Amino acid sequence: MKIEQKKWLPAKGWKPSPPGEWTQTAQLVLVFGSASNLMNQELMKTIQKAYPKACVFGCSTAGEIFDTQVSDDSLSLTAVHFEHTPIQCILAQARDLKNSYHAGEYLAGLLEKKGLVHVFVLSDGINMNGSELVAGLTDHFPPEVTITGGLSGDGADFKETFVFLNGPPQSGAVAAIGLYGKRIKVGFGSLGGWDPFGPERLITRSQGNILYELDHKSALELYKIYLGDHARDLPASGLLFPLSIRTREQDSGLVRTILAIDEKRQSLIFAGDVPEGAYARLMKANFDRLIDGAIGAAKISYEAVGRSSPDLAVLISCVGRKMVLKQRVEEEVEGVLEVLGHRTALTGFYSYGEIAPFTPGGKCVLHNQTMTVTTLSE
Amino acid sequence: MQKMHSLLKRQLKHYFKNPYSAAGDLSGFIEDVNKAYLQSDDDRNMLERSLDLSSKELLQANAELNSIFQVFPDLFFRLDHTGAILDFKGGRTMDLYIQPERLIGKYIYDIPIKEIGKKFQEAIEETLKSNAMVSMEYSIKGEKLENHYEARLLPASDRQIIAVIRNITKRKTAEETLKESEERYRQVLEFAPDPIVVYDHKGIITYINPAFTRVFGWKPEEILFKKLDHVPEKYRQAERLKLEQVKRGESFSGFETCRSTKDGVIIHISMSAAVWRDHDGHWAGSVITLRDITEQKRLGQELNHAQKMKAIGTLAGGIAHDFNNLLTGIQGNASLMLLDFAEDRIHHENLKHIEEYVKRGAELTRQLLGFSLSGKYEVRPTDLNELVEKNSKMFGRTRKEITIHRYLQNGVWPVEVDPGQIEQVLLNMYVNAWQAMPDGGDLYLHTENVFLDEKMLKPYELKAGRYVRIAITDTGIGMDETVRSRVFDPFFTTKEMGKGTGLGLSSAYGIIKNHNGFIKVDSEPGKGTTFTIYLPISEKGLSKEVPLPAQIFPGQETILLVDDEEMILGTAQSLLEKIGYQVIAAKGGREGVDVYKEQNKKIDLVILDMIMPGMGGAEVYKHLKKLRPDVKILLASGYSLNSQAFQLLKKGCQGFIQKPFTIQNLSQKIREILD
Repeated sequence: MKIEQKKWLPAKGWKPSPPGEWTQTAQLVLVFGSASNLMNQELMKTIQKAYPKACVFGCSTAGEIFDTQVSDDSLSLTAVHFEHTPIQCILAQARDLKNSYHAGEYLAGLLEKKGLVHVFVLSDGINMNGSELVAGLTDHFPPEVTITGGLSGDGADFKETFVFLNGPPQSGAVAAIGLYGKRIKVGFGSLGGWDPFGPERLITRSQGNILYELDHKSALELYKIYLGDHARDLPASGLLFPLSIRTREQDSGLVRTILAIDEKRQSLIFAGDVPEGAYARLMKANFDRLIDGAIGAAKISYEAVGRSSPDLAVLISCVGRKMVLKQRVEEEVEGVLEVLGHRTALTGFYSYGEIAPFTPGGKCVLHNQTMTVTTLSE
Repeated sequence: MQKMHSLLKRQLKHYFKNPYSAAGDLSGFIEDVNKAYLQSDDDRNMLERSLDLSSKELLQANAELNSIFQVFPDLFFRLDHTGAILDFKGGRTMDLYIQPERLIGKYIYDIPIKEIGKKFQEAIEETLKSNAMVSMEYSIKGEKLENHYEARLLPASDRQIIAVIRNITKRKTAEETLKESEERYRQVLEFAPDPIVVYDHKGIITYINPAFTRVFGWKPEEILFKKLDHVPEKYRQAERLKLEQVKRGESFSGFETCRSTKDGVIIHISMSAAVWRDHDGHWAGSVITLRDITEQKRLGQELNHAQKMKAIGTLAGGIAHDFNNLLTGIQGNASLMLLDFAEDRIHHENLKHIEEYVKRGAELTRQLLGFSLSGKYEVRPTDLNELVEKNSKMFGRTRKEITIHRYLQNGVWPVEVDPGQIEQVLLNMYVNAWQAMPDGGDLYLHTENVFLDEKMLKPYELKAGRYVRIAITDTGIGMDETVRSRVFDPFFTTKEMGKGTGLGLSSAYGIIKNHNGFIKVDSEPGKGTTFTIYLPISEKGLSKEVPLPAQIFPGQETILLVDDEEMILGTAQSLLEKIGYQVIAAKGGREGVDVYKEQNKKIDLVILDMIMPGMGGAEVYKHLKKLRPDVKILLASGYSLNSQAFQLLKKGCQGFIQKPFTIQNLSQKIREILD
């Protein structure tokens, strides 16, 4: 596997400057950037031109990861030349999709299954129910095919997110890369670092990923009480208190992040399902545990590829972590690099949701507030 | 720059004296540091605030729980995964053998009763293994009573278990009482002799008892939760009205109707219905009892028939008695004339014919009297097989187109009967059979010893005991229900006018009844007829019949005739005087007594009529006996020898003669008594 990376900043342009070594042979170019930069058609055309044979694949973010740097308002580009691994890139537009579950089913229908090893998914981050998308994917791929990915972001604005494949960025779309063959090694790990606190509350009214009531009281009001003055910054400030959701059958909880609020309906929209009858607890960030979580995720994915430095690591970390870590956000990326080794090329973005199994061999689910690391080696 | 953080300010002051005097290229750095400090404070404040809020919530929840536990009757134990008691709550109102605070730190299964401890141990293991609630029940016998408890073990966090103990003694007692009550009522239904069906409000069967299956044939699995229509067509209208009554919530009883069984047999039932309602008082269904009254109806019909026959018999007997008196008069006059007329006299033959017709008339009245149950003539222990054998052979000789088959049980018990009357009965049966087989056929005769119980004999008012059964079966045209129900009615006949009197079978019925037996008929059109006669056995041995002579025996003694009929007195007096007797006639019982009072010394014999108005024969006898204990009396009656006559014979009357009598019979009887 051959990799080259470039970063674009408004004031500085591309660093390093194009062209690169693998412009003619790269099959895949991962591009993560702010929504405004992705909508810059000229900029995007230069990428397409620079890598004429590649699938240019990416999404809008709540922060771009380029090596150990985390930037806003940039473009992070990683071009990959696979020596032994065929790939297939697909995109499903919003008009082709009936619902979030169907999106997963549709994508699965487009990808060739024979020889498929791993699927990397990028999805709309606002209008997609991540839980349903993942369910649609897992129900229609063979169980031995692993799936990771993320929900695209829109900074802290939560207005509109974009996904693209070889064309202009599209809202409401979902895209995927399929990796084939026996030479590709994929590892992944996902960890949080958030701690639940306070009483357990029963979800008494909800619908899909929309939460209305906890213990028969308005969930939105509860958040406003806990946020205090920060309530005016909802939904972004809501990232400071994700929910830990536990169903009756589970011991451990899934983490859910707020994506939007609806004052009229007095509801909160989460990135994934918040089922009625489940138990919810507010969570708070533990700074050190956030960093340890990222390091832990890296370790898990490192173990999965045989304890050798992978060629490429795609980091998808939740926007909520960035909001808590603030200036120290790069510490978690640095922690990942420490584990994987300095030979590994790091790319990725801050997302509105992460897609990965809890543990290698486990079922793929939607996470929030985690650092998800996907490592690739040939 | 934002307002400088106090800590940063202090630090900068420490190093730079003036915190705002740092070099320009450090200003950006200081700004970032300040931002970080301020952010950190903000984060800490938010964290403290959220922890404070959640603590308040938890405190409130805790306070609510504590309040609830103060009044909660159940006892809560918090256990670790080994079963050690960490904590307890509630149970304030429960009667406890050990105070729970003394149990903290101990193991819940270390209670003194081993079996209960073992149960707890197993329940703890199961809870931890299944991560689900486990329930168990146990009992502790106290001094006064036994207490029942239910324990529910729920998994909690950190491998702990919450054990909720509830005293369920009252519930258990109520359950047991309810169970007993249900069992009791179930047994009542299950063992009820009458069929019981329970319907819901849609008419679907929800329960049937074993009696229903026994009577109607359907098993529960065949008809439960289904509808069953086994009401015969002609009863449906009436039943619909009854159903409406039930729907209005009105119970009823004793409604007579019919049902068909699974085999299609129609039976008579007496139906009772009780309505049952749900908790809201709405009609929820009905409980129906269907008592099989088929047998009861049959017995009732037989009883009615027997009573009817008895009434007719009384009437017929009265007519026969009066008619006999007339015949006596005719016979007597004819006999008198014959005594004077030589055989070659012109009217001798006519008089003989008159005698013959009187005899035939007497035969008819005899049959009528036979029907009227007016008494047996002369009974003695009789071998029925001999009787049947003899008279059926005689009949067979005259009706060669009929093949007679005899199945006579060996050692058949003797019966106490008047053989002549029984022969008459049998002959009537044979004739009836012969008439039903105009083209010939078969006649089967069976005799058999049987034991009849009270139930079978109830309509006939007879005693249970040993009987002999005679069955006479033909292969003739048979009878329908209408004919069968009237076959024993006097004067009922299916033959054309003049071809039959209709008295044969009614006479047979009366004769058998008079012999304390009964007769039944079974027949269906096209399938022949069977008459079955039951006669009680005789406790005495068999005797042989002695035939009567046919000559006139004169005499010279003095005879007192007592009768209320002028005609009888006149005729009998003339006849007796003709053959040499001195005759004193007394009209009625009173005159008879008066005459005897005055002249008893010269009276050798009294011929006393049994049935007289005013003073009857029995009373006259009493008076005569008082006047002269050795009085000789010959009883006379238009009725057959009945119980009253029997009594008088037992008391000392010397003989009995039935009217109409011939002079030969009368003179014979007189000589038997006087000689």
